[in-house]
Amino acid sequence: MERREAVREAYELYSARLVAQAYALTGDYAEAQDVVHEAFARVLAHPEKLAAVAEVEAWLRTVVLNLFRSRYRRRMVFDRLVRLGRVDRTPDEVPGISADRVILVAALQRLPRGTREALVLHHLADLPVTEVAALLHVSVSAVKTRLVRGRAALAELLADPTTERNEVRHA
Amino acid sequence: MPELDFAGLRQDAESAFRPHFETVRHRYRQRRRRRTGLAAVGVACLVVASGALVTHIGSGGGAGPGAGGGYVDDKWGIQVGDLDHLYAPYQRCVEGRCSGPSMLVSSDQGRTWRPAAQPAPPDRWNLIAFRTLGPQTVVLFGPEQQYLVSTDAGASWRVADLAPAVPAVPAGWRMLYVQPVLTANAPLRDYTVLVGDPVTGTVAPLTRHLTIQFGRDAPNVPDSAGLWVSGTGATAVSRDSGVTWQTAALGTGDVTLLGYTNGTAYAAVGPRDLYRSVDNGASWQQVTVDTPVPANANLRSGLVLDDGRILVPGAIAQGPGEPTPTGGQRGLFVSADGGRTFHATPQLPGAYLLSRVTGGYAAIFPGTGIALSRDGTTWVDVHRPRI
Repeated sequence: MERREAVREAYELYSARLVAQAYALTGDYAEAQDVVHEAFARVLAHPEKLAAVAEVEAWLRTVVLNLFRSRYRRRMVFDRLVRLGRVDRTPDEVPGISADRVILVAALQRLPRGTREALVLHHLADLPVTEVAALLHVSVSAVKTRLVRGRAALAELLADPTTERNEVRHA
Repeated sequence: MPELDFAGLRQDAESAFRPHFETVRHRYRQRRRRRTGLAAVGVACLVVASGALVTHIGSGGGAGPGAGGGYVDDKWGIQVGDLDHLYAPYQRCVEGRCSGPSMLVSSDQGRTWRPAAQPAPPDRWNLIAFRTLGPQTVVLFGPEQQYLVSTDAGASWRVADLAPAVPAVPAGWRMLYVQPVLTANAPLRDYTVLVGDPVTGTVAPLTRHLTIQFGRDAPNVPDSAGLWVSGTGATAVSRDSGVTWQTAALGTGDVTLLGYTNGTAYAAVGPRDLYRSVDNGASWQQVTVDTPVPANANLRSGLVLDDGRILVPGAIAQGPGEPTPTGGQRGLFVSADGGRTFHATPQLPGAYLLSRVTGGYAAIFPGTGIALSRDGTTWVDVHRPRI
């Protein structure tokens, strides 16, 4: 029971952060919660594994990331069409999340999976580049390249060069 | 290069989550049951292989949405038609693929709930947004141009196409939804304003598109004040029923319109900055706040009442000497002087969003339900129905 209580404590401590990261990866807030809950359910089935871990949050993040990847593999075709813009995945409203952040998440879904993962791990999970590289099993330079290209791609997707502030428009 | 607000995204996404460990336990029990079932299938397969039993063995898995391994997407909580008519929409999903939508309906302020008739959406339809046009008229928006509408509080539904564009909002119609015009490369600044007839449920776009970054409708502004839309660093107002729009800049962050009363509109820019307009949104001035809401309160979740009070949910001390909680939202901060000063009250502990609804106001408590009020002073709890 103590080990299961430890899982519950880890859930109380880390679930919100993990859901935020999973949301940016999946683009769907409900699915992000489901991924995190599935991750903790698997940990609950083997609570002794949590006890053996030194960096609990990092380990849980790996579990969530692996779950995201296995789901991503199952719907790779659909996600490719979304990235190419051939399928309009209209971002749905998420109560409590402002529209500009919902759009940022939608823009993240237009990026390749590896780039998206690098951006989420570095900017949302606040991991240094070296840790991101270790987690993704790529080189540090590869992570840096993904971050630069990913930020540039997001900026292009989100840019609004025709809007001028203080302009009164009559549509 | 525009700022990529990852910090804001993290804050919003973390704040929107309400932990519920029972969901983890339930999922764990489901997994254990499936494994027991699969083990039985495995034994049966061995029997078949031995030739002792010839029976078609099913996979045991392949569950549709809602069966083992799925989850309920009920992020819309309770939606308000008016103070009597309430709706709780949801979808059953598996790994992001959802069936439905489904809905529970109440006609007695949430005292009792019943399942609505099951809408029959087109294939590959996903619930994107939920709107109420009138007490018994609800509209469900999906990813395509078709929508689902009920004019009898969910007793029946129809799939409808958008009506032809109208140059202005017809008499009796209301602004319903601000929908992005999606293209492959630049979906984020052109919006179609959808308007609807509360009686027939007919929805049509206004002829003129609206150009504003990250635009959204403003449910806290009463219909009598005209058409208002907020975006990033700007608002747009139409005083001629949508024929023309006037855009004005304010601040540099996400704008939330908090309400309109006595000729004055109020808006929050980000969580901390309060603005006021006395010329119907043509220009905005930042309010000099003498006693601001604390860092753990969020102006964007607030609301301006018809009597001019401004309510903002926030974390407050629960008693003398008790330290202010650093997380969560446990009470209200109230201003009776146009936002210059705020004082704390223990009302509505746990509310995280306040909203104007037909006939009054609603306070949203994620995961547990809402509270309703006619006057913004006396509130009645409505508990979330079990799905």
